[in-house]
Amino acid sequence: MTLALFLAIVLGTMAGAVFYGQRRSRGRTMDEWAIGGRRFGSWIFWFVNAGEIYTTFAVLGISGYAWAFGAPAYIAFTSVSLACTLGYWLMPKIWDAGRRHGLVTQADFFEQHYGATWLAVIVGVAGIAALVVYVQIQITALSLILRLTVGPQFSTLQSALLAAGVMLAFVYVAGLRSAAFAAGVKDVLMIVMVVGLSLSVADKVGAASMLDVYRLAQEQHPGIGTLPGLKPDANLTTTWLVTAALNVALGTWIFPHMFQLVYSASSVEAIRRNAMWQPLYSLSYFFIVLLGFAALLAGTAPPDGNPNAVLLQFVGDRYPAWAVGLLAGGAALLALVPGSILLLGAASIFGRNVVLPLKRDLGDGTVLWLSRLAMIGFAGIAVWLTLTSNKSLVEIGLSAYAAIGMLAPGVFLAFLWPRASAVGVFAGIVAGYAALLLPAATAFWVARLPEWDQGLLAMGVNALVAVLVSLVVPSRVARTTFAIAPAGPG
Amino acid sequence: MNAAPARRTAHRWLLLLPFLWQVALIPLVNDVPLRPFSLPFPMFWQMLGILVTTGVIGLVRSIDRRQERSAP
Repeated sequence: MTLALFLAIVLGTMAGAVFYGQRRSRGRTMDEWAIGGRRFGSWIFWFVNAGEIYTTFAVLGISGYAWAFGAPAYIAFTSVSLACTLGYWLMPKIWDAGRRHGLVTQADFFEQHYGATWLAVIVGVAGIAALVVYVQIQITALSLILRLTVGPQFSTLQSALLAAGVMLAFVYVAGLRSAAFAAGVKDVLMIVMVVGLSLSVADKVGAASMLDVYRLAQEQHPGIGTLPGLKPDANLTTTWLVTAALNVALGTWIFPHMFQLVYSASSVEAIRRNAMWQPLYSLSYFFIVLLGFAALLAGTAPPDGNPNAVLLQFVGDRYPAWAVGLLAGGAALLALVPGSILLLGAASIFGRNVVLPLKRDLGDGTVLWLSRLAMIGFAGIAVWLTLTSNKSLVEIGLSAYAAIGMLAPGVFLAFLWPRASAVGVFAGIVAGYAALLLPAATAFWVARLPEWDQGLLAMGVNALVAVLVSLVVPSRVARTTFAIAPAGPG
Repeated sequence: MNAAPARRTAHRWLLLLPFLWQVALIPLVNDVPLRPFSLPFPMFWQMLGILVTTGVIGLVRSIDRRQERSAP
Protein backbone atom coordinates (compact mmCIF):
# COMPACT_ATOMS: atom_id res chain seq x y z
CA MET A 1 0.00 0.00 0.00
CA THR A 2 2.69 2.44 1.07
CA LEU A 3 4.88 1.48 -1.87
CA ALA A 4 2.05 1.59 -4.41
CA LEU A 5 0.97 5.09 -3.34
CA PHE A 6 4.54 6.28 -3.20
CA LEU A 7 5.28 5.07 -6.74
CA ALA A 8 1.97 6.35 -8.10
CA ILE A 9 2.69 9.85 -6.80
CA VAL A 10 6.30 10.05 -7.90
CA LEU A 11 5.89 8.42 -11.32
CA GLY A 12 2.57 10.11 -12.05
CA THR A 13 3.99 13.54 -11.33
CA MET A 14 7.10 12.87 -13.36
CA ALA A 15 5.06 11.75 -16.36
CA GLY A 16 2.78 14.78 -16.10
CA ALA A 17 5.74 17.11 -15.73
CA VAL A 18 7.54 15.70 -18.75
CA PHE A 19 4.37 15.93 -20.84
CA TYR A 20 3.82 19.53 -19.74
CA GLY A 21 7.43 20.45 -20.37
CA GLN A 22 7.38 18.96 -23.87
CA ARG A 23 4.12 20.58 -24.82
CA ARG A 24 5.12 24.04 -23.62
CA SER A 25 8.72 24.03 -24.72
CA ARG A 26 9.55 25.89 -27.91
CA GLY A 27 12.84 24.56 -29.11
CA ARG A 28 15.74 23.25 -27.15
CA THR A 29 18.01 26.20 -26.61
CA MET A 30 20.05 26.85 -23.50
CA ASP A 31 17.74 29.78 -22.69
CA GLU A 32 14.64 27.63 -22.84
CA TRP A 33 16.15 24.75 -20.90
CA ALA A 34 17.75 26.82 -18.15
CA ILE A 35 15.52 29.87 -17.65
CA GLY A 36 12.24 28.95 -19.32
CA GLY A 37 12.82 31.48 -22.09
CA ARG A 38 12.28 34.42 -19.65
CA ARG A 39 8.53 33.99 -20.03
CA PHE A 40 7.32 32.94 -16.57
CA GLY A 41 4.28 34.94 -15.47
CA SER A 42 3.19 35.55 -11.89
CA TRP A 43 1.64 32.14 -11.24
CA ILE A 44 4.27 29.85 -12.65
CA PHE A 45 7.00 32.08 -11.20
CA TRP A 46 5.35 31.82 -7.79
CA PHE A 47 5.17 28.04 -7.98
CA VAL A 48 8.78 27.61 -9.07
CA ASN A 49 9.84 30.00 -6.33
CA ALA A 50 7.79 28.11 -3.75
CA GLY A 51 9.23 24.90 -5.16
CA GLU A 52 12.68 26.19 -4.37
CA ILE A 53 11.89 27.43 -0.89
CA TYR A 54 9.82 24.48 0.36
CA THR A 55 12.22 21.61 0.07
CA THR A 56 12.84 18.70 2.38
CA PHE A 57 14.86 21.23 4.40
CA ALA A 58 11.57 22.97 5.20
CA VAL A 59 9.40 19.97 6.02
CA LEU A 60 11.60 17.13 7.29
CA GLY A 61 14.41 19.47 8.40
CA ILE A 62 12.37 22.01 10.36
CA SER A 63 10.08 19.43 11.98
CA GLY A 64 13.20 17.53 13.05
CA TYR A 65 14.78 20.72 14.34
CA ALA A 66 11.63 21.56 16.33
CA TRP A 67 11.68 18.04 17.78
CA ALA A 68 15.37 18.17 18.70
CA PHE A 69 15.78 21.82 19.76
CA GLY A 70 12.40 23.57 19.92
CA ALA A 71 12.51 27.35 19.44
CA PRO A 72 15.55 27.44 17.11
CA ALA A 73 13.18 26.09 14.46
CA TYR A 74 11.63 29.59 14.36
CA ILE A 75 14.34 30.44 11.85
CA ALA A 76 11.85 29.02 9.36
CA PHE A 77 9.42 31.88 10.05
CA THR A 78 12.05 34.49 9.23
CA SER A 79 13.59 32.86 6.18
CA VAL A 80 11.00 33.57 3.51
CA SER A 81 9.66 36.94 4.61
CA LEU A 82 13.09 38.53 5.05
CA ALA A 83 14.36 37.09 1.77
CA CYS A 84 11.29 38.47 0.00
CA THR A 85 11.70 41.90 1.60
CA LEU A 86 15.26 42.07 0.38
CA GLY A 87 14.19 40.49 -2.89
CA TYR A 88 11.63 43.21 -3.58
CA TRP A 89 14.57 45.60 -3.91
CA LEU A 90 17.18 43.21 -5.28
CA MET A 91 15.34 40.92 -7.69
CA PRO A 92 14.21 43.58 -10.19
CA LYS A 93 17.80 44.76 -10.48
CA ILE A 94 19.08 41.26 -11.20
CA TRP A 95 16.20 40.64 -13.59
CA ASP A 96 16.82 43.85 -15.47
CA ALA A 97 20.55 43.19 -15.84
CA GLY A 98 19.73 39.69 -17.04
CA ARG A 99 17.31 40.84 -19.69
CA ARG A 100 19.38 43.70 -21.01
CA HIS A 101 22.57 41.69 -21.31
CA GLY A 102 21.12 38.29 -22.17
CA LEU A 103 22.48 36.69 -18.98
CA VAL A 104 21.60 33.08 -18.21
CA THR A 105 23.65 32.29 -15.10
CA GLN A 106 24.88 34.11 -12.04
CA ALA A 107 28.49 33.91 -13.22
CA ASP A 108 27.36 35.69 -16.42
CA PHE A 109 26.33 38.55 -14.19
CA PHE A 110 29.76 38.79 -12.55
CA GLU A 111 31.44 38.59 -15.95
CA GLN A 112 29.28 41.32 -17.43
CA HIS A 113 29.34 43.64 -14.44
CA TYR A 114 32.96 43.35 -13.39
CA GLY A 115 34.24 42.83 -16.93
CA ALA A 116 36.35 39.85 -15.87
CA THR A 117 35.92 36.37 -17.32
CA TRP A 118 38.35 34.91 -14.80
CA LEU A 119 36.13 36.15 -11.96
CA ALA A 120 33.14 34.50 -13.60
CA VAL A 121 34.97 31.17 -13.71
CA ILE A 122 35.77 31.43 -9.98
CA VAL A 123 32.24 32.52 -9.12
CA GLY A 124 30.92 29.66 -11.26
CA VAL A 125 32.96 27.06 -9.41
CA ALA A 126 32.03 28.53 -6.01
CA GLY A 127 28.37 28.55 -7.00
CA ILE A 128 28.51 24.94 -8.15
CA ALA A 129 30.10 23.94 -4.83
CA ALA A 130 27.28 25.54 -2.83
CA LEU A 131 24.65 23.98 -5.10
CA VAL A 132 26.16 20.54 -4.64
CA VAL A 133 25.87 20.94 -0.86
CA TYR A 134 22.23 21.89 -1.36
CA VAL A 135 21.69 18.83 -3.55
CA GLN A 136 23.22 16.81 -0.72
CA ILE A 137 20.29 17.89 1.50
CA GLN A 138 17.79 16.57 -1.02
CA ILE A 139 19.64 13.29 -1.58
CA THR A 140 20.04 12.76 2.18
CA ALA A 141 16.31 13.23 2.58
CA LEU A 142 15.28 11.22 -0.45
CA SER A 143 17.41 8.24 0.49
CA LEU A 144 16.04 8.43 4.03
CA ILE A 145 12.49 8.41 2.64
CA LEU A 146 13.29 5.41 0.47
CA ARG A 147 14.72 3.46 3.36
CA LEU A 148 12.06 4.34 5.94
CA THR A 149 9.00 3.82 3.80
CA VAL A 150 9.78 1.69 0.80
CA GLY A 151 12.27 -0.75 2.17
CA PRO A 152 14.85 -0.92 4.92
CA GLN A 153 16.63 -3.51 2.80
CA PHE A 154 18.23 -0.67 0.81
CA SER A 155 21.67 0.31 2.02
CA THR A 156 22.50 3.99 2.43
CA LEU A 157 24.61 3.85 -0.72
CA GLN A 158 21.93 2.15 -2.77
CA SER A 159 19.20 4.52 -1.70
CA ALA A 160 21.43 7.57 -2.26
CA LEU A 161 22.33 6.35 -5.74
CA LEU A 162 18.71 5.62 -6.52
CA ALA A 163 17.73 9.08 -5.30
CA ALA A 164 20.37 10.73 -7.47
CA GLY A 165 19.34 8.61 -10.46
CA VAL A 166 15.69 9.61 -10.25
CA MET A 167 16.68 13.26 -9.86
CA LEU A 168 18.87 13.12 -12.97
CA ALA A 169 16.24 11.29 -15.00
CA PHE A 170 13.78 14.00 -14.09
CA VAL A 171 15.88 16.96 -15.15
CA TYR A 172 17.31 15.33 -18.28
CA VAL A 173 13.98 15.09 -19.95
CA ALA A 174 12.82 18.68 -20.10
CA GLY A 175 14.33 21.36 -17.87
CA LEU A 176 12.82 24.16 -15.84
CA ARG A 177 9.27 24.01 -17.18
CA SER A 178 8.84 20.38 -16.10
CA ALA A 179 10.10 21.30 -12.68
CA ALA A 180 7.52 24.08 -12.46
CA PHE A 181 4.71 21.61 -13.08
CA ALA A 182 6.05 19.15 -10.52
CA ALA A 183 6.51 22.01 -8.06
CA GLY A 184 2.80 22.78 -8.38
CA VAL A 185 1.81 19.17 -7.73
CA LYS A 186 4.12 18.78 -4.77
CA ASP A 187 3.01 22.05 -3.16
CA VAL A 188 -0.66 21.14 -3.31
CA LEU A 189 0.05 17.61 -2.10
CA MET A 190 2.28 18.70 0.77
CA ILE A 191 -0.12 21.38 1.96
CA VAL A 192 -3.00 18.88 1.98
CA MET A 193 -0.80 16.33 3.72
CA VAL A 194 0.66 18.66 6.34
CA VAL A 195 -2.68 20.26 7.18
CA GLY A 196 -4.35 16.85 7.25
CA LEU A 197 -1.77 15.49 9.64
CA SER A 198 -1.99 18.60 11.80
CA LEU A 199 -5.78 18.42 12.07
CA SER A 200 -5.61 14.86 13.36
CA VAL A 201 -2.45 15.14 15.40
CA ALA A 202 -4.03 16.33 18.65
CA ASP A 203 -5.85 13.00 19.09
CA LYS A 204 -2.68 11.04 18.56
CA VAL A 205 -0.79 12.72 21.39
CA GLY A 206 -3.60 13.24 23.90
CA ALA A 207 -4.17 16.94 23.30
CA ALA A 208 -7.55 18.64 22.91
CA SER A 209 -6.67 20.69 19.82
CA MET A 210 -3.81 21.83 17.64
CA LEU A 211 -3.07 24.74 19.93
CA ASP A 212 -3.32 22.44 22.91
CA VAL A 213 -0.36 20.51 21.47
CA TYR A 214 1.66 23.70 21.88
CA ARG A 215 0.41 24.09 25.46
CA LEU A 216 1.30 20.50 26.35
CA ALA A 217 4.70 20.70 24.73
CA GLN A 218 5.58 23.79 26.78
CA GLU A 219 4.31 22.18 29.97
CA GLN A 220 6.14 18.91 29.52
CA HIS A 221 9.28 20.42 28.06
CA PRO A 222 9.93 23.75 29.77
CA GLY A 223 12.09 26.00 27.64
CA ILE A 224 11.01 24.48 24.34
CA GLY A 225 9.21 27.62 23.20
CA THR A 226 11.93 30.19 23.81
CA LEU A 227 15.55 30.41 22.77
CA PRO A 228 17.97 28.72 23.36
CA GLY A 229 15.50 25.85 23.26
CA LEU A 230 15.85 22.34 24.62
CA LYS A 231 19.64 22.07 24.34
CA PRO A 232 21.32 25.20 25.70
CA ASP A 233 24.72 23.61 25.09
CA ALA A 234 24.15 23.90 21.36
CA ASN A 235 24.48 27.71 21.64
CA LEU A 236 21.31 28.32 19.64
CA THR A 237 20.62 31.59 21.44
CA THR A 238 18.88 34.79 20.42
CA THR A 239 22.21 35.99 19.01
CA TRP A 240 22.36 32.84 16.93
CA LEU A 241 18.87 33.39 15.55
CA VAL A 242 19.59 37.05 14.75
CA THR A 243 22.78 36.24 12.85
CA ALA A 244 21.55 33.06 11.19
CA ALA A 245 18.31 34.72 10.05
CA LEU A 246 20.30 37.60 8.53
CA ASN A 247 22.67 35.22 6.81
CA VAL A 248 19.81 33.25 5.30
CA ALA A 249 18.06 36.43 4.12
CA LEU A 250 21.24 37.83 2.55
CA GLY A 251 22.12 34.50 0.95
CA THR A 252 18.79 33.38 -0.50
CA TRP A 253 18.95 35.24 -3.83
CA ILE A 254 22.68 34.66 -4.11
CA PHE A 255 22.21 30.96 -4.69
CA PRO A 256 22.88 30.53 -8.41
CA HIS A 257 19.58 28.73 -8.97
CA MET A 258 17.63 31.53 -7.28
CA PHE A 259 19.53 34.10 -9.31
CA GLN A 260 18.70 32.12 -12.42
CA LEU A 261 15.10 31.82 -11.32
CA VAL A 262 14.86 35.62 -11.19
CA TYR A 263 15.83 35.81 -14.89
CA SER A 264 12.94 33.50 -15.75
CA ALA A 265 10.32 36.08 -14.66
CA SER A 266 8.38 37.67 -17.50
CA SER A 267 8.11 41.08 -15.80
CA VAL A 268 9.00 43.15 -12.74
CA GLU A 269 5.36 42.90 -11.77
CA ALA A 270 5.60 39.08 -11.57
CA ILE A 271 8.60 39.49 -9.28
CA ARG A 272 6.99 42.07 -7.02
CA ARG A 273 3.73 40.21 -6.71
CA ASN A 274 5.68 37.11 -5.77
CA ALA A 275 7.70 39.00 -3.15
CA MET A 276 4.50 40.26 -1.61
CA TRP A 277 2.54 36.98 -1.43
CA GLN A 278 5.29 34.40 -0.96
CA PRO A 279 5.82 35.20 2.77
CA LEU A 280 2.23 34.25 3.64
CA TYR A 281 2.95 30.74 2.47
CA SER A 282 5.61 30.47 5.17
CA LEU A 283 2.89 30.69 7.83
CA SER A 284 2.51 26.99 7.05
CA TYR A 285 5.58 26.43 9.21
CA PHE A 286 3.06 26.64 12.05
CA PHE A 287 2.01 23.13 11.05
CA ILE A 288 5.55 21.87 10.55
CA VAL A 289 6.66 23.01 14.01
CA LEU A 290 3.41 21.61 15.41
CA LEU A 291 4.22 18.18 13.98
CA GLY A 292 7.73 18.34 15.41
CA PHE A 293 6.38 19.18 18.88
CA ALA A 294 3.72 16.47 18.57
CA ALA A 295 6.37 13.91 17.69
CA LEU A 296 8.22 14.93 20.84
CA LEU A 297 5.07 14.52 22.97
CA ALA A 298 4.49 11.12 21.39
CA GLY A 299 7.97 10.02 22.41
CA THR A 300 8.97 9.34 18.80
CA ALA A 301 12.29 7.55 18.59
CA PRO A 302 13.73 7.82 15.06
CA PRO A 303 16.47 5.39 14.01
CA ASP A 304 19.86 6.48 15.43
CA GLY A 305 18.12 9.51 16.95
CA ASN A 306 18.27 11.08 13.49
CA PRO A 307 16.17 14.28 13.60
CA ASN A 308 15.67 14.18 9.82
CA ALA A 309 13.66 11.00 10.23
CA VAL A 310 11.38 12.24 13.02
CA LEU A 311 8.36 13.21 10.93
CA LEU A 312 8.39 10.02 8.87
CA GLN A 313 8.90 7.90 11.98
CA PHE A 314 6.10 9.65 13.84
CA VAL A 315 3.65 9.24 10.96
CA GLY A 316 4.76 5.62 10.51
CA ASP A 317 4.11 4.95 14.23
CA ARG A 318 0.74 6.65 14.55
CA TYR A 319 -0.96 6.77 11.17
CA PRO A 320 -2.29 4.17 8.69
CA ALA A 321 -0.19 2.94 5.78
CA TRP A 322 -1.89 5.11 3.16
CA ALA A 323 -0.94 8.26 5.08
CA VAL A 324 2.67 7.10 5.16
CA GLY A 325 2.54 6.46 1.41
CA LEU A 326 1.14 9.91 0.68
CA LEU A 327 3.66 11.63 2.93
CA ALA A 328 6.54 9.66 1.50
CA GLY A 329 5.44 10.40 -2.07
CA GLY A 330 4.98 14.10 -1.35
CA ALA A 331 8.25 14.34 0.54
CA ALA A 332 10.03 12.57 -2.31
CA LEU A 333 8.75 15.23 -4.72
CA LEU A 334 9.88 17.79 -2.19
CA ALA A 335 13.41 16.49 -2.66
CA LEU A 336 13.19 15.72 -6.38
CA VAL A 337 11.89 19.04 -7.67
CA PRO A 338 14.38 21.36 -5.96
CA GLY A 339 17.14 18.79 -6.39
CA SER A 340 16.64 18.72 -10.12
CA ILE A 341 16.51 22.52 -10.37
CA LEU A 342 19.74 22.70 -8.34
CA LEU A 343 21.45 20.24 -10.65
CA LEU A 344 20.13 22.17 -13.63
CA GLY A 345 21.63 25.36 -12.23
CA ALA A 346 24.99 23.75 -11.53
CA ALA A 347 25.06 22.25 -15.02
CA SER A 348 24.26 25.46 -16.86
CA ILE A 349 26.96 27.32 -14.92
CA PHE A 350 29.45 24.60 -15.71
CA GLY A 351 28.69 24.76 -19.42
CA ARG A 352 28.57 28.50 -19.88
CA ASN A 353 31.03 29.77 -17.32
CA VAL A 354 33.61 27.06 -16.86
CA VAL A 355 33.75 25.17 -20.18
CA LEU A 356 33.03 27.98 -22.65
CA PRO A 357 35.71 30.42 -21.43
CA LEU A 358 38.26 27.62 -21.81
CA LYS A 359 37.12 26.70 -25.31
CA ARG A 360 35.30 29.52 -27.04
CA ASP A 361 34.45 27.82 -30.33
CA LEU A 362 31.91 25.32 -28.95
CA GLY A 363 28.37 25.48 -30.28
CA ASP A 364 25.25 25.89 -28.14
CA GLY A 365 24.36 22.22 -28.68
CA THR A 366 27.75 20.96 -27.52
CA VAL A 367 27.66 23.13 -24.40
CA LEU A 368 24.19 21.89 -23.54
CA TRP A 369 25.39 18.32 -24.00
CA LEU A 370 28.48 18.89 -21.83
CA SER A 371 26.36 20.56 -19.14
CA ARG A 372 24.08 17.57 -18.97
CA LEU A 373 27.06 15.26 -18.73
CA ALA A 374 28.51 17.32 -15.89
CA MET A 375 25.28 16.93 -13.93
CA ILE A 376 26.06 13.25 -13.45
CA GLY A 377 29.36 14.23 -11.88
CA PHE A 378 27.73 16.76 -9.55
CA ALA A 379 25.07 14.26 -8.50
CA GLY A 380 27.88 11.78 -7.81
CA ILE A 381 29.69 14.25 -5.55
CA ALA A 382 26.46 14.96 -3.71
CA VAL A 383 25.95 11.22 -3.16
CA TRP A 384 29.48 10.95 -1.81
CA LEU A 385 28.86 13.88 0.59
CA THR A 386 25.63 12.23 1.71
CA LEU A 387 27.50 9.07 2.66
CA THR A 388 30.14 10.87 4.67
CA SER A 389 27.86 13.17 6.67
CA ASN A 390 25.29 12.53 9.36
CA LYS A 391 24.32 16.11 10.15
CA SER A 392 20.75 17.36 10.40
CA LEU A 393 19.19 18.81 7.27
CA VAL A 394 19.06 22.25 8.88
CA GLU A 395 22.77 22.13 9.69
CA ILE A 396 23.64 21.09 6.14
CA GLY A 397 21.34 23.82 4.89
CA LEU A 398 23.04 26.49 6.98
CA SER A 399 26.44 25.37 5.70
CA ALA A 400 25.14 25.71 2.13
CA TYR A 401 24.04 29.26 3.01
CA ALA A 402 27.46 29.95 4.51
CA ALA A 403 29.13 28.75 1.32
CA ILE A 404 26.97 30.81 -1.00
CA GLY A 405 27.23 33.86 1.24
CA MET A 406 30.77 34.23 -0.11
CA LEU A 407 29.30 35.48 -3.39
CA ALA A 408 26.90 37.91 -1.70
CA PRO A 409 29.25 40.91 -1.32
CA GLY A 410 30.01 40.78 -5.05
CA VAL A 411 26.31 40.93 -5.91
CA PHE A 412 25.34 43.64 -3.42
CA LEU A 413 28.36 45.82 -4.17
CA ALA A 414 27.51 45.58 -7.88
CA PHE A 415 24.29 47.46 -7.17
CA LEU A 416 25.47 49.74 -4.38
CA TRP A 417 28.99 50.88 -5.13
CA PRO A 418 30.38 51.64 -8.62
CA ARG A 419 33.93 51.52 -7.35
CA ALA A 420 33.80 47.83 -6.45
CA SER A 421 36.22 45.95 -8.68
CA ALA A 422 36.84 42.40 -9.85
CA VAL A 423 40.09 42.25 -7.88
CA GLY A 424 38.34 43.50 -4.74
CA VAL A 425 35.52 41.00 -5.06
CA PHE A 426 38.00 38.19 -5.66
CA ALA A 427 40.08 39.17 -2.61
CA GLY A 428 36.87 39.23 -0.57
CA ILE A 429 35.92 35.73 -1.73
CA VAL A 430 39.36 34.37 -0.82
CA ALA A 431 39.32 36.03 2.62
CA GLY A 432 35.75 34.89 3.20
CA TYR A 433 36.47 31.26 2.44
CA ALA A 434 39.55 31.43 4.66
CA ALA A 435 37.40 32.79 7.50
CA LEU A 436 34.86 30.07 6.88
CA LEU A 437 36.99 27.00 6.26
CA LEU A 438 40.44 27.37 7.87
CA PRO A 439 40.48 25.35 11.10
CA ALA A 440 42.29 28.19 12.88
CA ALA A 441 39.59 30.66 11.84
CA THR A 442 36.68 28.45 12.88
CA ALA A 443 38.40 27.75 16.20
CA PHE A 444 38.73 31.50 16.70
CA TRP A 445 35.02 32.14 16.05
CA VAL A 446 34.00 29.28 18.32
CA ALA A 447 36.18 30.66 21.12
CA ARG A 448 35.28 34.35 20.73
CA LEU A 449 31.79 34.46 19.23
CA PRO A 450 30.30 31.03 19.93
CA GLU A 451 26.70 32.14 19.41
CA TRP A 452 27.24 33.81 16.05
CA ASP A 453 26.40 32.22 12.73
CA GLN A 454 29.80 31.58 11.17
CA GLY A 455 28.45 32.17 7.68
CA LEU A 456 27.54 35.74 8.57
CA LEU A 457 30.94 36.35 10.18
CA ALA A 458 32.72 35.08 7.08
CA MET A 459 30.46 37.18 4.87
CA GLY A 460 31.41 40.22 6.96
CA VAL A 461 35.13 39.51 6.54
CA ASN A 462 34.54 39.00 2.84
CA ALA A 463 32.68 42.30 2.40
CA LEU A 464 35.24 44.24 4.40
CA VAL A 465 38.16 42.91 2.36
CA ALA A 466 36.27 43.47 -0.91
CA VAL A 467 35.67 47.12 0.02
CA LEU A 468 39.24 47.73 1.21
CA VAL A 469 40.82 46.18 -1.86
CA SER A 470 38.40 48.00 -4.16
CA LEU A 471 39.47 51.28 -2.54
CA VAL A 472 43.05 50.50 -3.52
CA VAL A 473 42.24 48.96 -6.91
CA PRO A 474 39.00 50.58 -8.07
CA SER A 475 36.96 49.35 -10.99
CA ARG A 476 37.63 50.77 -14.45
CA VAL A 477 34.67 49.13 -16.15
CA ALA A 478 32.19 51.49 -17.76
CA ARG A 479 29.05 50.96 -15.77
CA THR A 480 25.88 49.74 -17.38
CA THR A 481 24.36 47.70 -14.57
CA PHE A 482 23.67 50.91 -12.73
CA ALA A 483 21.20 53.01 -14.57
CA ILE A 484 18.41 50.81 -13.34
CA ALA A 485 15.00 52.18 -12.77
CA PRO A 486 12.89 49.04 -12.82
CA ALA A 487 10.46 49.17 -15.69
CA GLY A 488 6.78 49.44 -15.00
CA PRO A 489 4.34 46.55 -15.20
CA GLY A 490 4.24 44.65 -18.45
CA MET B 1 19.27 52.26 -0.66
CA ASN B 2 18.33 52.64 -4.30
CA ALA B 3 18.87 56.35 -4.74
CA ALA B 4 17.79 56.84 -8.33
CA PRO B 5 17.42 60.60 -8.58
CA ALA B 6 14.57 60.61 -11.09
CA ARG B 7 12.25 58.70 -8.81
CA ARG B 8 11.18 59.23 -5.25
CA THR B 9 12.38 56.18 -3.41
CA ALA B 10 12.12 57.24 0.22
CA HIS B 11 9.22 54.84 0.75
CA ARG B 12 11.59 51.95 0.01
CA TRP B 13 13.07 52.45 3.48
CA LEU B 14 9.86 50.90 4.78
CA LEU B 15 11.41 47.60 3.71
CA LEU B 16 13.61 47.80 6.81
CA LEU B 17 10.54 47.30 9.02
CA PRO B 18 10.37 43.50 8.57
CA PHE B 19 14.03 43.30 9.55
CA LEU B 20 13.37 45.35 12.69
CA TRP B 21 10.39 43.17 13.57
CA GLN B 22 11.77 39.74 12.79
CA VAL B 23 15.48 40.23 13.55
CA ALA B 24 16.30 43.24 15.71
CA LEU B 25 13.52 42.52 18.21
CA ILE B 26 14.31 38.81 18.65
CA PRO B 27 16.20 39.35 21.95
CA LEU B 28 13.42 41.57 23.33
CA VAL B 29 10.49 39.28 22.59
CA ASN B 30 12.17 36.01 23.51
CA ASP B 31 11.31 36.09 27.19
CA VAL B 32 7.88 37.68 27.08
CA PRO B 33 5.83 35.33 29.29
CA LEU B 34 2.55 35.74 27.38
CA ARG B 35 1.16 32.78 25.48
CA PRO B 36 -1.35 34.05 22.93
CA PHE B 37 -3.46 31.12 21.67
CA SER B 38 -1.20 28.84 23.78
CA LEU B 39 1.69 29.65 21.43
CA PRO B 40 5.14 30.53 22.72
CA PHE B 41 5.36 34.32 22.42
CA PRO B 42 8.45 34.47 20.19
CA MET B 43 6.77 32.10 17.74
CA PHE B 44 3.57 34.14 17.74
CA TRP B 45 5.70 37.23 17.18
CA GLN B 46 7.44 35.73 14.15
CA MET B 47 4.12 34.69 12.64
CA LEU B 48 2.81 38.23 13.09
CA GLY B 49 6.06 39.37 11.47
CA ILE B 50 5.16 37.44 8.33
CA LEU B 51 1.83 39.29 8.11
CA VAL B 52 3.62 42.58 8.73
CA THR B 53 6.06 41.77 5.93
CA THR B 54 3.37 41.07 3.37
CA GLY B 55 1.64 44.27 4.46
CA VAL B 56 4.79 46.35 4.16
CA ILE B 57 5.77 44.92 0.76
CA GLY B 58 2.20 45.44 -0.41
CA LEU B 59 2.33 49.07 0.68
CA VAL B 60 5.67 49.72 -0.99
CA ARG B 61 4.43 47.99 -4.13
CA SER B 62 1.30 50.12 -4.30
CA ILE B 63 3.36 53.32 -3.89
CA ASP B 64 5.73 52.12 -6.61
CA ARG B 65 2.87 51.34 -8.93
CA ARG B 66 1.22 54.70 -8.40
CA GLN B 67 4.50 56.46 -9.16
CA GLU B 68 5.08 54.37 -12.27
CA ARG B 69 1.62 55.06 -13.58
CA SER B 70 1.96 58.82 -13.11
CA ALA B 71 5.56 59.06 -14.38
CA PRO B 72 6.36 56.12 -16.65
